Amino acid sequence: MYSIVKSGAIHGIDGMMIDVEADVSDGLPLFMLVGLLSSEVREAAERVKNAIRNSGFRLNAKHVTINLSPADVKKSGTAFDLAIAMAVMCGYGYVLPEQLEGVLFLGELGLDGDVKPVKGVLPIVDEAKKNGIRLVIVPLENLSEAKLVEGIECLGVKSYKELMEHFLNDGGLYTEYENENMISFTKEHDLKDIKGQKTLRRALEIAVAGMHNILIGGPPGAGKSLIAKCIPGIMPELTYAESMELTKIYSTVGMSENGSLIRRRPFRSPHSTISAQALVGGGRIPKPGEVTLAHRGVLFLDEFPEFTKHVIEMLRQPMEDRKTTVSRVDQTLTFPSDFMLVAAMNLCPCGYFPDRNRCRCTERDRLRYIGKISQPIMDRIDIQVMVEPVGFDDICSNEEGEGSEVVRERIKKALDHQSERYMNEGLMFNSRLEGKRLFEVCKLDDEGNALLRSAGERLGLSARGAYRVLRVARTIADLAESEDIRVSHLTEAIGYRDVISGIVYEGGEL
Amino acid sequence: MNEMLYELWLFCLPDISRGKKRKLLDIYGTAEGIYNADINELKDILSEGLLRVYEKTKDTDKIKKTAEGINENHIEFIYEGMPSYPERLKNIPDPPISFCVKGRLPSDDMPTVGIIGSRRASAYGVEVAMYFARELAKNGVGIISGLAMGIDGMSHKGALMGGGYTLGVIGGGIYSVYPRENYMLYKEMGERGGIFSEYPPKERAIAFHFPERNRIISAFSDCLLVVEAKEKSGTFITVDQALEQGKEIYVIPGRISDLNSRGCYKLMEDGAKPVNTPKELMEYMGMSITVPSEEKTIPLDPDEKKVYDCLSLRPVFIDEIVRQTKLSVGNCLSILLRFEIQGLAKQPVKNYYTKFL
Repeated sequence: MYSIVKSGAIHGIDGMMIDVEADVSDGLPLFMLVGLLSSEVREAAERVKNAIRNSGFRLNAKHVTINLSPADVKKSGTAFDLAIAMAVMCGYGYVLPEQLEGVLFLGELGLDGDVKPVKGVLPIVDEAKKNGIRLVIVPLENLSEAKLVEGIECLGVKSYKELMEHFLNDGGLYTEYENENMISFTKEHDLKDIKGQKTLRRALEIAVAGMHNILIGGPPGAGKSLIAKCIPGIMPELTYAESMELTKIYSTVGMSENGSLIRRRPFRSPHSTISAQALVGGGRIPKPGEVTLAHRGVLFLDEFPEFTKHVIEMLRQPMEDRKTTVSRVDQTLTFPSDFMLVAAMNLCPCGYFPDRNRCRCTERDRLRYIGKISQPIMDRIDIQVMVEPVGFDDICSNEEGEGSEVVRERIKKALDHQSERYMNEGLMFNSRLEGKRLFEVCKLDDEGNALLRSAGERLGLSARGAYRVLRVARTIADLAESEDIRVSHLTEAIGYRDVISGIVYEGGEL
Repeated sequence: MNEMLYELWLFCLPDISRGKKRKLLDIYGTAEGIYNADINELKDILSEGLLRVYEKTKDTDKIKKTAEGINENHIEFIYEGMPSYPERLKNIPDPPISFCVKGRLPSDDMPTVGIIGSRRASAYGVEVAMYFARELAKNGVGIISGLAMGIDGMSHKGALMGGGYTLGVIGGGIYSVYPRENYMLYKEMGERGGIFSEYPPKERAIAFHFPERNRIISAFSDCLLVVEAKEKSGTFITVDQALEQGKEIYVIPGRISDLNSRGCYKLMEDGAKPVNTPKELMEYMGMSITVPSEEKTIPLDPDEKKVYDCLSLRPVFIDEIVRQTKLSVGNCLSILLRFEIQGLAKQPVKNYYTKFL
C-alpha cells in the first residue's frame, strides 16, 4: 500500500518541506531508500527496521520502497527517521493515512525505539506553518524550540512506542518539556568593571553607536579581549524579528540554547587557526560560518595578523555585502552576516611595541607583521585605536567606570537618530554610508572642509581615510545629539584614524 | 682606454680588497700599470682565484659600458690625483683610492657635522637628531651621516627640511639602496645633497662594509655629534676613527634609564662634550647662528595649555593626557590634532604624542 508523510530538512538556514513516500507491496523481501540520499539517511533503513521491531511491532517480509521527494535535492541528516518509520507503518496498514494528514515528523531513531534530538527544528517548523501543517511532532528535547513558532500545534515524543500509542489509542505524547539544565552560566561582562582605558571606552561607544568596525592595537595584557567582551552588553537589545532570525541560524547548526529564543547579541571569537570555510561558511553541504553566527552581533578576531592572509581576505565580501554566498556543485546558498568586526592586534611580532626596552623588532619586522592585513580590509575598519596596559593609578583608584547600562542608553539615542534619518533607505547605520549619500549626510561647513584639507596635507590623511573620518564624525555628532557635524566632532574622528600610519611614521619609535 | 677607464676598471675589480689594490698601486704606480702587468709577477701577490677575476674583468667593452652607465645616471667617478678629489679624504689613514658620488660633495671649506647614532632610536633621539640637523643645515653646516635607519636617516631628513646640504656615505655600491625603506630619501639626497660610495656600483651592502664606511663619515665631518648609542654599537667604530683622525666628539645626553643613553654616557665619561642646543654646538665650532630657529608663538587657550603642558620629548599615551588634564577624550584628541596640524605636537606612534621641536 502506498503512503505519504511530511518531514523537513534544512536548506542553508531555511527550512524546506520533504515528502516521505513509502510503497509496501508483495514481492521479493526488500527495504530500499531512494531520493538522492547521503549515507546517514540511507542508514536510516536499519535504524527504522530495528526501532519498529523493538517497539513491539512485526513487519512481514515485503517489498518496501521509500522515496524522499523532491528527489533532486541532496538530503542529509537523521531527522527523517521518524517520518520514514511512520510512512512504513502506514504502508503496512497499522496507521490510517487520514491520521497522518497535515502532520510533520522530525526525529532520529535509536535501535531500541528512542527518539533523539535533531538540528534545525525552528526553521523547519516555521516553514511547516507556512505550508499549512497542523501538527508537528518533534523529539521531546526539541519541543520548546519548536514551540517558538506561534500558531502551530507541537507535540514532543520520547520513544517510538509512545508515538504509535498516540495514533492507535490517542494521548501518550508531551505538550511541555521541563529541562533541569535550563540555567545558563554565561557571565555578562559589564563596562563598569573596566578600570581606566578612557580612550578605548570612548572609541567603543562611538563604534557601537554607528556600528563601525573597530581595530584595537596594543601590547599583550592591555585588556583588549576583556573590553571587547563588553560590546554585546552595550549594543541595543534585539528586536523579536532579529531574535527569531538568530535563533533559526543557531538552530541549523545545533547551537540553540535549550530551545529558548536568543535574546543576547552574539559574541563570536574564533581562534586564529580557523579555516576560511569555518569563517565564512562552507562544506560540501554548506553550513553557516562564524560570520553568520556573529550576525547582528560581534565578530571578535583576536591577534588579527595571526589569521592567515587568505582567511582575512575572505572577510571582504561579508563586510561589504552584509551577507556571504557559498557556492558548491550541488547548490549556492546565501547566509546573512551583518556583524560588527572587532579586531585586536599587537603592533609587532613580539607584541611589546612600542615599549622599546622590551621590543627588539625592527621596523621591517613590524611592517611585515602588519602587512598581512591588506589595505582593502583596513579601509573597512573605520575606527582604529591604541591601548596601553592599565597603570597602577587606575587599578588602585576607587573611581568606578560608567556601567554598560548608561552607555547603552546613549548609544540607543544615537542609533534612534540614525534610524530616523535613514528611514526607508535600506541602511540603518552611519557606517553603511557611501557615495553621494555620505556627502549629503556628512555636510561640513567651511571651517570643517579647511580642517580636513590641512589634515590631508600635514598628516597625510588620504581621500579614503577622509570618508572613514566623515562617517565616524557623523556618529560622534549623533552621540552629541547635534544636527550638524561640528569641527570638534571632526577633529575627534581624525584622532581614530589608522593605527598603521603611526608605525611607518618617519621611523620614529618610543 | 684612457686613464679614467683604467681607474674605473680597478675600482670595479671585485673580490680584491682595498689593501691589495693599494699594494698593487705601490708596485705598478698607476691603474694602467696594473692592467698591463706581467701575469707571472702578479702571481706573487694575487692568489689563483683572484688572478682569474683579474683576467676576466679585462674586458674593454664592459668597462666602457660601466662608464656610460655612470654618466647616464649623473654619477661622478673620482680617483686619487684628480683635482676634485676632496682635501678632507687626503688626511686620513687609508684613504679611498677612488669612489662614486651622486649629487655633489661638500666643498672643502664648508663646515660639517657628522650626526650618528642608533638604528633603533627612540622617538626622543629621532626628534633631537632631526632638530639639530635642521637648525645646523639652515646655518650652512653640512650634515654627514650614513643613510641607515634611525638617527642617520632622520639627520639627513632634518637637513633637507632645513634646506641645507647633507652627504650620505653608504655601505654598498652607488646603485644599491639599503635599507629599502630609505628609497625616497636616497632619491632626494641624490638631487639635493650627495651620496658617496667607495664600492663597485652594483655591489650589495655587506656587513663588513659598514665599519669601513664609518671612517669616511668621520673624514668628511669637522666634528661628530652622537645622538643615541648603546654601549656596544657601530657608533663607537666611527667615534674611534674620528678620534684617530683628530676630530672633536659631542654628545646629546639622554635619560639614564634608556639603554640607548648608555653609550652617550660612556662617551661623556671619556671626555666628550655634551651639547644642549644647535647654537651651543656651533659656538664650539667657532661659528655663530645666522638663521635663528622659528619661534612658535601660537596663542593657546586654557584647555590647550593644559594639554600642551603634558607633552615632552618622551611620547605620552593619550590616556595619560586625559588623566592629567581631566578633559574628555574627544576634547583631548581634538586639541592634539590641532597641535599636530600647527606643528606643535607629533604622533610618533598612534595615540602617543610628543612635543615638536
